[in-house]
Amino acid sequence: MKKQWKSPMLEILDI
Amino acid sequence: MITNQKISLSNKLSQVEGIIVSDMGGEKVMLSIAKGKYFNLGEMGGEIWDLMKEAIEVKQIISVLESIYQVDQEECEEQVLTFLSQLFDQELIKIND
Repeated sequence: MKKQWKSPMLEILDI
Repeated sequence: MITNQKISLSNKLSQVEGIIVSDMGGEKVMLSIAKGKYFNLGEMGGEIWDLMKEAIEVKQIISVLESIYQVDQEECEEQVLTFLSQLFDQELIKIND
């Protein structure tokens, strides 16, 4: 059984 | 509709060396001291990141993801290409054509 797809996202934090 | 043309399905991509990478609760996080930025790729992004340890074509990445996840091809291509373009813009991955 295939896993549920979630849209890949890139979170960027300027430190 | 795929609007981002920077990264294409035929491009070969790999990780840029020298980035501090860690797993935090299943999510892939990175720190770039030079850029002064912290990146969180999340769980799905981390899986895509791991596929690029060695140079790999984008269409191969899509193929692997389609075999694991319940997603149609067009949706997968669009979202993965957008994500890869973001990684490329941040100089986290490079093109090895």
